[in-house]
Amino acid sequence: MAAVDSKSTWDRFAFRNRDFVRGKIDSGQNRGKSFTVPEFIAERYKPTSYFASGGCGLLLKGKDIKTDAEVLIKSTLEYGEADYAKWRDEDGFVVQLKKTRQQLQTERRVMVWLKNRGCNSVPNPIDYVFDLNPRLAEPYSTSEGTDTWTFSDEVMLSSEPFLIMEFVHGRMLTDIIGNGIDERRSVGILREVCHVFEVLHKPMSLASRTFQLAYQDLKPDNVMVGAHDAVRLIDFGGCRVSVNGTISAHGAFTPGYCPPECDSTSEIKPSADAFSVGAMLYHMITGQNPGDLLKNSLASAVRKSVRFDDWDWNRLQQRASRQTVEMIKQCVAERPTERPADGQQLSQMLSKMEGASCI
Amino acid sequence: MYLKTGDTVPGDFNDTESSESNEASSAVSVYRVTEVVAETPWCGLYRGKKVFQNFIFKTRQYEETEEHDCLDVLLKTVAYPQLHDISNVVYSRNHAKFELSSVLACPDTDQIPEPIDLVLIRNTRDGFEFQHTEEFVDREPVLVFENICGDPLGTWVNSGRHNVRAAMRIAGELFTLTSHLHANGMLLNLLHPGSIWIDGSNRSHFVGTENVVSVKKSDTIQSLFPPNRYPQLFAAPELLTGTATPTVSTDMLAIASIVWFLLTKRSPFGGGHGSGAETLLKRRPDPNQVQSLRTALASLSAQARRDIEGWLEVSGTKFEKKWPDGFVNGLLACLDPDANQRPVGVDDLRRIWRTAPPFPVREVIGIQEASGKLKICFSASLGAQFLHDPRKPAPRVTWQTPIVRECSSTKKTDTLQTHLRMGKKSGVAIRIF
Repeated sequence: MAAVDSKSTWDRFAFRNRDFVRGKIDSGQNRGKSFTVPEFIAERYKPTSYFASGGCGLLLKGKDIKTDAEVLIKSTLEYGEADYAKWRDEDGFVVQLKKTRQQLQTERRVMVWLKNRGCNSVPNPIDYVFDLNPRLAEPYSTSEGTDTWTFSDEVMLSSEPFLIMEFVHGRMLTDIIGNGIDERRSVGILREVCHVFEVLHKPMSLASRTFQLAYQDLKPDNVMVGAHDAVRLIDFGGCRVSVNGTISAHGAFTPGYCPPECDSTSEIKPSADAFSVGAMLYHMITGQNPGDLLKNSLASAVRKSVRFDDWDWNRLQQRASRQTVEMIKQCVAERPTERPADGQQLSQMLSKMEGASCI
Repeated sequence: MYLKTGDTVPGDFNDTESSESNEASSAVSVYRVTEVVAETPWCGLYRGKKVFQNFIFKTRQYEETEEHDCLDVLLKTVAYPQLHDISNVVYSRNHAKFELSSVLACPDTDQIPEPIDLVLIRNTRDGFEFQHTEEFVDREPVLVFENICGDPLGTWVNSGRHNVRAAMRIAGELFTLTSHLHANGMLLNLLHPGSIWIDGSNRSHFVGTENVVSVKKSDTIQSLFPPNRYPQLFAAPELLTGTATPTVSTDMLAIASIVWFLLTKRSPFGGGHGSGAETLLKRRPDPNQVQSLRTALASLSAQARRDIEGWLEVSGTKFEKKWPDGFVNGLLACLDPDANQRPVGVDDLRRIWRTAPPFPVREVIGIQEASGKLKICFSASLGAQFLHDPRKPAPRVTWQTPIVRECSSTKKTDTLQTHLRMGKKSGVAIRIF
């Protein structure tokens, strides 16, 4: 998600004797789209400004009126429900809502899971509340042209979920990298990211089901850096989740940072994140966004992952020690089996490098 | 107010403070106590679970999340050492709300746990119910905040994870935190090794937020923080004797003593000084400990020293050249029993680190000016006291100053002379008895 801390103009309106606000996104990939939220979500969380949006998620900055703390409020920007409304398909409409709302629930579960296992480098999932979504009750155009249709499932209208998270302070890593940062500092930052991966990559057995996760969307936009380079990994909505070997959430990934297998619809191994760690380390040290390397490729229109030969190894060698270059080469190997297997291996490699005097 | 393992704390927003209920969220938060972390006469700290609600599409109803889907949290209660004193009860509760909305919610820092909830429950302790009205009994605040996975500082320093480099990074974080709180009009007030927890990445988290007070003088401070609440080994003498209220200066002593503990695994005042007022006003770190600290810091690699410059926010200065004396002298200045001699904030301390010159020998205890001659005073015994204020400019003396030999013991003088022979220069040694 690209964050824009802008304060757009929000319109207030009343719906069922309660106050709501309607805002419009004025930048980024969702420019022009509007969202509707209660003025006080669950009577407690007051949205104050637009923060960011991605595929179908919306992030608002807000305030918890009970604790006075700043919070981030995550909700759904759109459900893709218009097609179902067009055909007055209320059941299809509900299925679509279920699919998207469960993704937010999964994101909360992943964050809870990580926090409970000692990952202080992820935002705290403070609350998970439900409230009305008046936008869903607005009249939809139907296939009959001028005729309109209204979704009237009261339970669904009033059960819009909102994930309330700690507002993470610091700077986005994207804003720090610039023309490249010190190799030693880069390794230190990524070591903390990989500490989260160590936990995330361990299969989770719950109620006779085994969950396997890959973060999948590691990129500088998803890493916040605070004082003393304290790291927070954000946006767990992009995780690929498989349950007993079957994908239950495909998540998201970013061209340039993702390995070749992300483009498939099958299960991916934690070694997919090793590729992103290598790509990130390359970006941090050289200042060159791996996405730019795709533009050099002949098949750039379809390729999402940088081929091994397309990385600018000379540029990297000028700025990094031999040990770091070797690690990046290992991480961005095109075959998953040639990469570090998981977060634990990555952590060990980075800790060793951090302790070495050569960097 | 103490909680027991297994207690349930309902966190419904429609509590006694909520104005009205309406169509908003049917979800109700519940907290389950799972473990007692610490109980003191002033507060209780517990680990618990925040139970979320899930919407079940099949039944179209809300259900509480299962155990594995609940978030680990910390819960803090207020205890009342003066149960009969209604004003103390009011102050304590107001202070709990200050802790939640001003300290835990303090923006722009990762080192303070995030607030999650404030719940008001019924205080069912017999004594409380007996002594207070229904209105009081029903409004017992319980603070819910982010669980920190880590070890208290006291445990961490004795673990295999402790090393001087990691300790210096934590020290840097603690000075940043102190500076941040001061900038936001708050004082740490009371620190001890249990106030700080260190996580798996060797990052520090400040959990002793119940002791933070506003820098604005308040009549309630002495009621909430009587002298016996302060830890002997980590508090300024004026707080222990009850002759002053917390200030930036008392904070500097507290944070420096914690950093000392972090580096040496011992309190700077751990030498059995006693607790009488006169003794407290004279206590200083044991010179042997000072020397061991210098030795440990001096052994750090050049790379580590450069890292430390960044962590202490003194990059681009002569700090590294003055390592480790400049750093240690800054700490010693903070630990001065005379509040007027301590740095007046973290920025002032950084100024000492940037500018303090290394001492020619470690036993310098002061400068004396007599008959137009400058004399540097050195201790000639291990028990001697430091009197020199390292914040002041370099000793106003050159090594060409005429030697005045006033030492009574030739043997000790010889030892001092060995120290003083730096290059071809000599100094002045005076033994003070």
